[in-house]
Formats: sequence, structure tokens, C-alpha cells
Amino acid sequence: MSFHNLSYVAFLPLAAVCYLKAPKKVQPGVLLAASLWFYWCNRPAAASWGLGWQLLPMGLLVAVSLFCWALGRAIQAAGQPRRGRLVAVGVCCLLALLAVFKYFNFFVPVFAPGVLHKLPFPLGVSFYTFAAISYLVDVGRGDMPAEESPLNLTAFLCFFGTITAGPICRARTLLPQLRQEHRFDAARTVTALQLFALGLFRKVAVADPLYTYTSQVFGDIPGHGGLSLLAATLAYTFYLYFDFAGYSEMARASALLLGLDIPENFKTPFFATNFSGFWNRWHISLSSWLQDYLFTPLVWADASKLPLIGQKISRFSPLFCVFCVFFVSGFWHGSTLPFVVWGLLQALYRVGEELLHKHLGKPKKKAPARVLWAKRLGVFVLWNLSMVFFAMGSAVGQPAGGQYGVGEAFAILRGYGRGLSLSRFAAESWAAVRVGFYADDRMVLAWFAFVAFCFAAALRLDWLRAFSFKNKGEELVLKAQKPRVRWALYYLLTLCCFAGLVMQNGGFGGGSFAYGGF
Amino acid sequence: MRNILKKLALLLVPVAAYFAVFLAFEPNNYFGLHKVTDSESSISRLKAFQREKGSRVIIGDSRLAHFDLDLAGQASGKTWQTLAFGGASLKENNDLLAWVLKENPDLQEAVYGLSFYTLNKSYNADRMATLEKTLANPFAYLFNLEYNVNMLTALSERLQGVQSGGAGETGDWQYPADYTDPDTGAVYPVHRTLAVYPQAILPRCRDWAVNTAQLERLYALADECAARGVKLTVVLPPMADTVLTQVCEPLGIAGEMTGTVLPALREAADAHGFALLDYEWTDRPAYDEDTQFYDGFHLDTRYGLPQWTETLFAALR
Repeated sequence: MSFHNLSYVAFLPLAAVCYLKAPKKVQPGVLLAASLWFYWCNRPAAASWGLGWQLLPMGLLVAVSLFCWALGRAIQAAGQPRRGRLVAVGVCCLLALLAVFKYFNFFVPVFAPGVLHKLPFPLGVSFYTFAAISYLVDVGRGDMPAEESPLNLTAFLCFFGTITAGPICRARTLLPQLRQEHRFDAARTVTALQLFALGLFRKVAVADPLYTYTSQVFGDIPGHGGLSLLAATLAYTFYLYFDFAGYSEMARASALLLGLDIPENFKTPFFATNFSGFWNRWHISLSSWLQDYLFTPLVWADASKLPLIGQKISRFSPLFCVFCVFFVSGFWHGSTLPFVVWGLLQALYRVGEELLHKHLGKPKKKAPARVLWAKRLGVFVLWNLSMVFFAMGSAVGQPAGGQYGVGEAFAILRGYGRGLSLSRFAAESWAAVRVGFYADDRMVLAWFAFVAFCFAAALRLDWLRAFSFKNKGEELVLKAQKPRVRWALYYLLTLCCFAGLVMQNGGFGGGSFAYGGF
Repeated sequence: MRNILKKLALLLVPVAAYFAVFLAFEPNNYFGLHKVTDSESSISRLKAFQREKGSRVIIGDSRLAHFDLDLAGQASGKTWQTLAFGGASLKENNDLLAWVLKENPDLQEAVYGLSFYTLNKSYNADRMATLEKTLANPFAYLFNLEYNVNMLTALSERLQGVQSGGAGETGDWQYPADYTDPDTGAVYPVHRTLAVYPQAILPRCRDWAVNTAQLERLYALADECAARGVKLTVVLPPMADTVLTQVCEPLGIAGEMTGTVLPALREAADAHGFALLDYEWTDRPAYDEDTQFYDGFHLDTRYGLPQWTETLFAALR
């Protein structure tokens, strides 16, 4: 059951009604029950996993929650330096758990083929581990009190709105909300529905059709010309953005329906004029988490105690810390080389930008429009180049039994200069889509018209949000319209979402979100 | 709350209208709203079976999917229901037989299509789990892209006044038009559809190997049929000489089939209690290749298939 499944459309209102109608004391219990049901519906479904293996992820999630609750209480009760040690133990345990589930399956075929059983991947293991780490560290820093109720903490970590792929919520923001009473509110519900519709539109009407095209082209890299490969790269960049931003909006909408306010994850990142700004607008909850719990501790770390380098430096250079953050970010995305290269490229972009600023001076705050657009274009082009590695790490279009890696990424980059003919591009694009539509030419034509319309509409929404609404909530774009225009937009959204859902077989054929496997 | 629900209902009116059109024109008769359907799709046939469970079924790929069931009934003196569908693999046929056995405890007889092509290990289509999901969940059907494309095609044909279904796999081939390659101008000794067929199936047959796992599963299903008193007949349908000479012989499939697979199948038939009728290798009917075969695997539905229907179902009498 994913956010864009029809089954979620039945689950969410039912969960909301049960939660909002329940007495205040019972509400966290209802939320936890709904979350565990959601988690159970998303258990590893492969036939090779028996019931025990299927229960393992859920058991692990509950165990992590209880472990954090008990450790949080112990941290609060302890004085320094024991408090610091307890936080370190908790963080190490959580990171070890994350490492086991994220990287064990990668090493099994390398070191022990046929000996060890692969582990089922627990849904959202990264996201709840990060949330748990932030809770322990915040309690350790004294930024928040330890949660008294194990039920509340478990409900926070298991929350169905964020468990799939975030946004990574901070305990100090969400836990106080869970202690409050929540009742039905018409205005809030309307906002939640608007957000959900916008998120669903971005996912099923924009992102998923773009992925259909990308996976067909990347499925045969040598067989496609440069323009097709370039178009597929652009399509993948927009797919990833609209998929993850759509997911994040649906997550926010799900929370809002219950009266919970969770952070925004995207703020029109493609209009950023530098990479610093880009990372303040892209996957914001991860960027800010890395800043608070990796970059800041690294910058302030006392390096003088370290062997060898300790005699030379007392603090790490901020640029080195930036580099570490992006390297870790790349490795977190996946254990394969393309993700590591992607992380290194991001580090290169950010460090390069800082060095440029150091040597050329900080850019003017009010630069001419053409300069700003040139910078936006530069960021977009460099981001696209890195996306080739991200796509290969994510095995987009990878044939069954194959293994895409850095070689394929370079094959795509080399292929940009091959067979640059518009007629070839048109023929290849037509063929790429035709496969998915049972060779029905009218349907292919309708698909291109649909994608062009939805893509343009989604970009226009982003444009309005960035330049007319100062990057405030996307739902404000809808709210600001006159009633007639708003209703016309509602109908358009409904029809586009419906068509997109049909193209994805209503979500019954499987398929999830791009970040669902992280 | 009521106000919001009203507005939501208003928003969903166009979607409801679309579904009304869908129900009126969907060609697979999933909901049983139409009296008859000429669809030969798997979903249509399986749903029809779910609604009215026949005691005699035909399972197989497209070579067994186009029988005239009235003619089959006359020849055998029994009433048949076909569940065969285009492109069914050995695994899908096994899944289907297992499903039929589960769905109908009163099953009496099953005809099961097998051929060198479906025995091929690399021919491994696996759609039965999705089909079962769609059978159980109407929403999965309503939101399925393929069935929506089917419906829109049926609707457009209806609006244009085109008779849906068409004539099927048949042709009154005209010389030289139907015997000439449009690209090269070469003239074939048999009509073009038949002549080019071996080249179309050749790539899939190159690394031909018997799917032993699924063949063993068929034997296990045969045991279950025997235990439940269900008469199982495994049928190898006829193929054109062009396929035999241009695909099976050059690739060594013919030698493997006649030398190893068929003797093993005959032994298995005795051991597991099923009947074996082989029109592909042993009792190859003497049909006129050019007029009675539509392509390399499929008999012409007007000039070839009726004769084989009579032959096959008379043997099942």
C-alpha cells in the first residue's frame, strides 16, 4: 500500500476518522495501530520470505522505538560524561543496524554466495533511524526532554505518513503535537486534500509517465541516439523531483488530515542560483539533518585528540566537513559505485562553489536577471550530469540479470554526441512509448499530449510558487485563485490524476516511490 | 464534513461518467453485463469460467484458443469451455490448470496444449498471479491500462461502425500481392504471413532447452487430476512445415523432441495417467500448407482449424 495506491485512498480517511473521533488518551494508540497496519501492508512480499522474515521489519521497528525510549530516559537521568557515552552507544547501535540492513545484501553475493540468506529490506529503515538518532542526540544535548510515554515515541517513529521515505521529522517538533488533542477541522481538511491532490498529480500524472520513457531509453543505451539519451536524462531528473516532491506533499497532506504539521521537503529547487541554495530547497529534511547531526559536530569536533593529524590541526576545515557530508550522503543513497560518484560530484560542486566564492568574493545579492538565470542554468546542467550516475545506481532500465554501474553512466555521457538527428529522436521516442501502449498509435499520441500538458502545468505551478508566492506552501497557489478558476483546476487535477492512475494500473501492478527503497 | 464530501462527490462526477462508459463498452464482459462477448482475452475467459464453471475445459496458448466450440461439441458429444489464451507459457498453463482444479471441484476433463515452443525454458511469461488479482478485485480491472485501451478501442470501433472481432486468423490469399515481400519484392512460395513466420520465432528458439521444472509440475498436476478422476489429455497441436524445416531442424529441436522429449512424455503419460495426442511430430495431419495454415503455428480458422477440430475432438469422444 503506497500513497498513490487506491487502497491508500481507502485507508487514509478511515485512519483519520478513527483517530479524530478517538478520545485524546487513545489517539496515539490509534495512530500507532494504523501505522503498524500500514507497515504490515508494505512488508516484504516475495514468496521466499516466510512469515518470520515478513514480521522481522515490523519487529525491528518496534524494537528500535522501545530501545530509543529506554535509552532516552537513561540519557536524561545521567550526568556528564556518562550522558555523552550513552548517546554515542545509541547512535552507534542505530548506525550499525542501518548498515546491516542497507549493505548486508550487497556483501552477501560478494563474500558468501549461497551461504547466507539475504535480508528483507525494512521499509523506511533509513528514515526512522535518522529520526531516532536526532531524538537521542537532542535529548543528550538537552534540547528536549526524553519522552515519558513509550507509546508516543513508537507512534512518532512508526508514523505511516513519514515511514516510507520521510520527511525526516524532528522529535522535538512532532512529539509535542502527538501529546495534543486533535479533532476534525474543515479548513485544515480542505488544505490537506488540496495538498494530497497536488502531490498525487505530480506523482502519477507527471513523474510516472516520465519514468516510462526514461526506463525504455536507458534499457538500451547503445541503441539510442544522443538526443534520446539527453531527453531521457532530463526526464529522469524531473521524474526524481516530481516523484519525491509529490510523495512529500502526500506525506504532509496525510499528517495534516490528522492535525499534525510536518516539514516541507522541497521548495522549487530548480530555481536555485547556486548549490548551497539548491540543497536548502531539495530534500530539505535530509539536508538539515546532515547539517545538524553530521556537519555541525564535525566542524566543532576537537581534532587535536586524533592520532597523527591531531598534532597538526585542532579543528576540521569547513570545506572538508562539507566534502564528508556529501560523501556520506552519496554512500547513504546506495552501496554501489554510481551513488558514491554521485555523492563525490555533489561534494565537488559544493566545495568548488565555496572556493569560487573565496577567490572571487561572495555574489551580489541583487544580480541582474540574466546573471541569475545563467546561474540557474549552470546549477541545473551540473545537477543533470550527476543524475546520470544516480539513475544508473538506481538501475533505471536495467535489463533482467544485468547490473548497471559507472560504465553505463559514462556510456550515456559519451552517447550524447551520437546520431544527433531530430528524425531519429522522434522515431526513438515514439518507439519507446509505443511498447507501453500495446502498439496503439492513437494512444501514443494521446500519451505525448498528456505528458506535455501535465509537465507544463507542474512547471507552471513551481514557477508561480517560486516567483509569486515566495516559495510558501504549494496549496496557496490553489487557494489564491478565484472560485471558478479553482474549481476548473480541481477538475483538471482530478482528471489528470485519474488518467495517471490508469496508466499505472491503479498502483495494483506494484511500483513505489523513488526514495521508497532507501 | 458533509460539505466537503458533497464537493468531493461533485469532483468525481466525470470519473463516474467515464466508468459508466467503461462498463457499457468494455469488451471482456468482466462484470457480466453483456449477453455475449467475442473477446478471446485471458481475463474474459477466466471471468466467464468463474461465472459459469464448465466441467470440460481447454487450456493452452493461441493454438488452442480459436476452436469453434459448437463444432468441438458435435465432434466429441461433450460441452467444452476454453480458457486458452494467446502467448500462454508452460508455467501459465500449469498455473491455469491448478486454478481450474481449485475453482471447480467437479471438473471432469481437461485438454492441455503443449508444444516444443511452450516447452522452451526461455519462454517464461508469468501473468497468472496478476490475472488472479484482477479477477478478485474489480478496481484492479477498472484501473488497468490494457483493459482501458481495449475499451477505448471497442468504443472507437463502435463509433466508426466497424464490426469488432473481425474475421480472425483467416485469408483468401491472392497471388502475387499476398506472396510478395513489400520491401525486397521477393516472391515467396507460400503466402507472406506464413513465409515470414519462422524468422519471427527464430530468436526465441535459438537457445532452446526443455523447461524441466515446469514439465515436472505438469506431471504433478496430472497426478492430482488422476486422483480426482479428471481426465487429462495433453495435446501437441500441428505446426506448418516451414517452422519444422526452417526452425526446428536447423536448431536441432526436432532431433531432441523426437529422440528424447516425446519418448519421455509417453512414459510419463503411462506413469501419471494422462492421455497424449501428438499432432506436432508423430501424427502430423496432411494439410495444404498454403491454404490451411494462417501462419507457422496457427491453422486458418476457416480452411484448416475446423478439420483439426473434428479430428481432435472425435479422438476425445
